Amino acid sequence: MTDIDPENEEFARRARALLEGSVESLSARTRSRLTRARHTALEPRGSLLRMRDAAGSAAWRRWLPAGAVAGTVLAVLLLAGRWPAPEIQQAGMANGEDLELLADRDALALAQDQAAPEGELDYEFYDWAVNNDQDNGGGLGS
Amino acid sequence: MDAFATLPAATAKFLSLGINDLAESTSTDTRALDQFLASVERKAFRIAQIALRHEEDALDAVQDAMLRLVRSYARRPREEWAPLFYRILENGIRDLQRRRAVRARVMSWIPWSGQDESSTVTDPLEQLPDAAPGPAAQAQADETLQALEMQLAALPARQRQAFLLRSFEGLDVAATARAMGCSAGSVKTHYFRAVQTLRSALGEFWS
Repeated sequence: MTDIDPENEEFARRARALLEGSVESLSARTRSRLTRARHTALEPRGSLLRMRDAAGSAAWRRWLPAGAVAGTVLAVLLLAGRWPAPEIQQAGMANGEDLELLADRDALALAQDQAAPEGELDYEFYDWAVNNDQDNGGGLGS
Repeated sequence: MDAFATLPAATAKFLSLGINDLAESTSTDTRALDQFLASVERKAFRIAQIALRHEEDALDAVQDAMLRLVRSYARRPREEWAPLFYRILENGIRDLQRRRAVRARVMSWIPWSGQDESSTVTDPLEQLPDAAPGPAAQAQADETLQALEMQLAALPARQRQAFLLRSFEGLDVAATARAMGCSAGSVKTHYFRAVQTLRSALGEFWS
């Protein structure tokens, strides 16, 4: 059981010659399609090399969309942060005035008087104040 | 001492390469692959065509084998490419034969399925004359070749594969064994039986 038998070798040689002849006589269309198939198979490897060549010059382009998004977000934050600021400041001032008013007893009493309805005015206080002013010979508040 | 000395060889090689070195390596591999595929594509096509008896299917099988080799085995040593390529090709041929058998079973139930659209399509390139010897010698060669192809197609797949890889592609016994996924002894057996069968069937054409 060997393939070194001379008759077998001769048969194999003739068969090879026939088959190789058929390869040489393949149609132009078939040869062209085989070449295209080979190029298609090798295409992804070629694209790696093209990527290397393009990488240096086009690196900044990869960051362009990310930069645009970051800039837009920053602008929105700045604009949004500008409007609430005065309200916060006014609120802060109002709170300070309230504290000062609460700390001042006279001011609080005056404020309570001003806030009192007309039917609930403290007439006895005003009578006392007028009489006391007349007794002292001066005007009110002097 | 090399900083990558303790790593596996492939990892150390990868890490020690810069991007330019890697690209150069890829370029060299691509050229080598291109040369290899160019050297086998026509014989591979004929092997697939003999097995499948269909030009389009043979082209599909060869293209698929090329793609798979490039994508999955390009990094393997170059001496392994031929056995790997022919193993992939044979698997593709077997898949196509299986699919064709299933399709034939399904289509046999459809009454109008006997019409073959591809037979009506003519390609001008196909009509181009090829370089050929004289008409009588060519007719004789064509007849012998046709008989050989028919007998090859009729062989069991393993015998056909062993004969074509050994006699036509010129692989040695060890490479044929790797391509067929069997032992060297099995290759010799398949090859011997193939030659005996072909010789007895083609005697009249060979005399």
